[in-house]
Amino acid sequence: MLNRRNFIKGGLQVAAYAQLGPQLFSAPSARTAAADERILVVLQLTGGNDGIGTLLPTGQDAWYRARPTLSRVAEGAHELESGFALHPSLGGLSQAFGEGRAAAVHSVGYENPDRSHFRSMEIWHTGLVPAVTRGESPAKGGLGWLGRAAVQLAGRHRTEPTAVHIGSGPTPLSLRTPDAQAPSLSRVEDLRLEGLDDDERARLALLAQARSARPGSDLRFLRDTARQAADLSDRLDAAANRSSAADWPATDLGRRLQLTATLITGGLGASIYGLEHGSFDTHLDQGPTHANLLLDLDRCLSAFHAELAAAGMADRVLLYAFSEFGRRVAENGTAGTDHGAAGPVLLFGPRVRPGLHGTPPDLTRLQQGDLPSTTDFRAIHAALEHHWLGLPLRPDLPAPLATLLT
Amino acid sequence: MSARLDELLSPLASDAFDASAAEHLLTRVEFGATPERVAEACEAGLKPTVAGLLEGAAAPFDDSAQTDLIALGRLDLAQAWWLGRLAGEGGCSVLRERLTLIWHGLFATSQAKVQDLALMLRQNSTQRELALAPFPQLVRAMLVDPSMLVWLDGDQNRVGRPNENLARELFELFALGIGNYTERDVLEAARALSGWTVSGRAARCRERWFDGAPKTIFDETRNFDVDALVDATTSQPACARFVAGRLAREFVHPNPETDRVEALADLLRATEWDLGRCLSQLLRSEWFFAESNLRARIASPVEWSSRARRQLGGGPARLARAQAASRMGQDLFQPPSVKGWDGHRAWIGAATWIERERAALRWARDPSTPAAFADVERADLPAAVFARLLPERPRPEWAAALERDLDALSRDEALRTLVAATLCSPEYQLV
Repeated sequence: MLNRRNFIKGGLQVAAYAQLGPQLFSAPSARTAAADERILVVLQLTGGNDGIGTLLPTGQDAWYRARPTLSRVAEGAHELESGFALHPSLGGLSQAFGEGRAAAVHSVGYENPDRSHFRSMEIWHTGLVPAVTRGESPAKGGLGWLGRAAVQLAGRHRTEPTAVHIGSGPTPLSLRTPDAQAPSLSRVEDLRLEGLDDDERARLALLAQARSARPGSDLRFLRDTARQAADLSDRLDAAANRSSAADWPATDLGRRLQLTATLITGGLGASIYGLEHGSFDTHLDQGPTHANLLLDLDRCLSAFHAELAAAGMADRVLLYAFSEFGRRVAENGTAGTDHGAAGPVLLFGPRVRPGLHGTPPDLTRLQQGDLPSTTDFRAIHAALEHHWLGLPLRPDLPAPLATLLT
Repeated sequence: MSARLDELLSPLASDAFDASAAEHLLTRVEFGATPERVAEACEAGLKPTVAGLLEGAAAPFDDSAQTDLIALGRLDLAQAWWLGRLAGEGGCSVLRERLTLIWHGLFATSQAKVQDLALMLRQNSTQRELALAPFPQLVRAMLVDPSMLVWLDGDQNRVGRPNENLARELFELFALGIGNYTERDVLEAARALSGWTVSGRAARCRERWFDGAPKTIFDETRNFDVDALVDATTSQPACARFVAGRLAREFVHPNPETDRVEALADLLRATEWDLGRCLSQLLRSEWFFAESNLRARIASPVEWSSRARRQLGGGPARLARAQAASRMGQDLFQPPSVKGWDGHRAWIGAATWIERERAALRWARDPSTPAAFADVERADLPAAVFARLLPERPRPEWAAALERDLDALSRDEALRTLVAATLCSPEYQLV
């Protein structure tokens, strides 16, 4: 009788993996993650986070003029340096800045900004800026920047999976590669198939054997995903069996970042985690909505740090937060903001050079009412790939922002 | 009609409409069919079968059960009700429901923000009513639909205080696609849509909040209002192309060839948006039945669930099926964003895959499932299960190994194993 364990040990599973080559998921390996392996957590602030409502240019009169309603957040803001302050909700982050564990980069974006959520997101996810794609969708055949990094890391470390998406929606474009994609889950229970005996499990595993399916075909994709889900399910139970040391907010982001921390400290071995928070699409009555989103974020970041620090792993994990665009400088007629262009990104963790980077935005010099980009986001991605994950420099990208990491 | 068009959407030769083709047609249009229904369609021929499907879709419908659902105020019950209709329960037209679902995915509006089931169901009813209507009529209805106005802040957009959310999504996601409008068009269109409010669950335009000054949209300057904006938008050449692309992705292939889409767009323009005629030509075309388009789409959770229902009958209760579809990633009335569901490979991830396995096991263990195979001898079970669930395709590679493994099981266990394994096989997900 077939038995799943024997089935896997029997080599069929491994043989199937060998056909995949050095993709996102390499062969399961007995080797545990080395202590010096670094982890990148990428948090997407979905919907277009209001950059100048997060990192407030409180030193500029033009900001108060453009935002008669929304500039009220200046009261209670956390002063940083030279005319900038953090939104009042961001007390924990402010403390992290003080302790040298956080940095932000001003006015990050790209030339000819696209004000569509979905197109701009595709651009950030693939690094294919409008100057390269000339109007074509970057999603057509474009690799995700993290998927590409994961493929390279898989070839190097032979741990599996290399990247995980923690969320309830589909795996984001940033984590996609042509053949496989990072597994996606929002709770450990998501991958637990209850009430099956070993024989039944073995039969399900049987269906997912890749023999004749053409690489790149949908059938191959379905089989790969089925097999990865089953394998990850086994490994998750081991990794997630760990109690929490921090005070987590009972929010979606709290649960997902807590799961991320648990998988990291439990030794799942993935190098890249992708998460989302939002929606930041605050067209209407932005004040309370945005304050709540930032407060949730702030509490989650503090808990994340506490959890990792308690496990002695804070020095291995860097969190990077971005949004597809900032919002228009002037508030709209409904106490909200419409889609804009450049905005700040945030880095949280070890080895960041603390403080503010890049060219501070000048709110009297706008393009179509928006802040122009002064730092190419690809220079930040290049810094994360090269200086943090240790991947080779890519000739097709701008040089890494050298000052970002120590 | 141009020669080029005739060529690209030329009809399938009538003798080519065999059981395999009939199964393809019924799976794409009605999510799935029993072997008996396939045989019936084959016997009738392609043209009468397609005509029958379209007649059904155009026939009067009754969705008055919405009144009770609104009174109950439970989203999950509303989802279950719609999922039942999508599986053709109560004899309603699956094609009309399928088109309604296409429009729900296109004009993706979510109860998560609207927070009013009555408005969401009203939109659903409007989309059902206009399922086969000319696209401009549907666009207009959606722009002044109360739930849409709440969803994209259209009810807040007033003269001197424009909110461009709805105008942007009209161009980008509902009617044209990126690259077919300018930022200025968005700002000016927002002004054309100003003044609308929702009160007492009704939408109306208040003259004093409408921006009556001239606007320049698509290089034309006049005092645009919602009607003029709909006319200008839907007469852009990009609009027919956009709708044609959507229909081609839904019915033919997730990545359709550009020239075929253009031919379908020509047809939409030539027939002045007669969707029934266009679908009739599309569903009878050689292209629709081309080898490369067979089993080329990954079934959505709703398609998966409705297919099992139509092939097996019975199955888990509607509410359980609706909850499963939500966990598999298709939460009806709550699409993930205004872009709707990405579809195809985006349906399949580690967690959503496990959820398909769970759903397959529930179908297999449901007490009603053996009824579909009541007269089948034990030895013939594998052939009967494959004939019903995976007809007209080569036996999957794993079938032989699975059949060998069934020897030690009772008839009931063997049947459950076969049904579960087939429903959650990679092959079954391709429709």
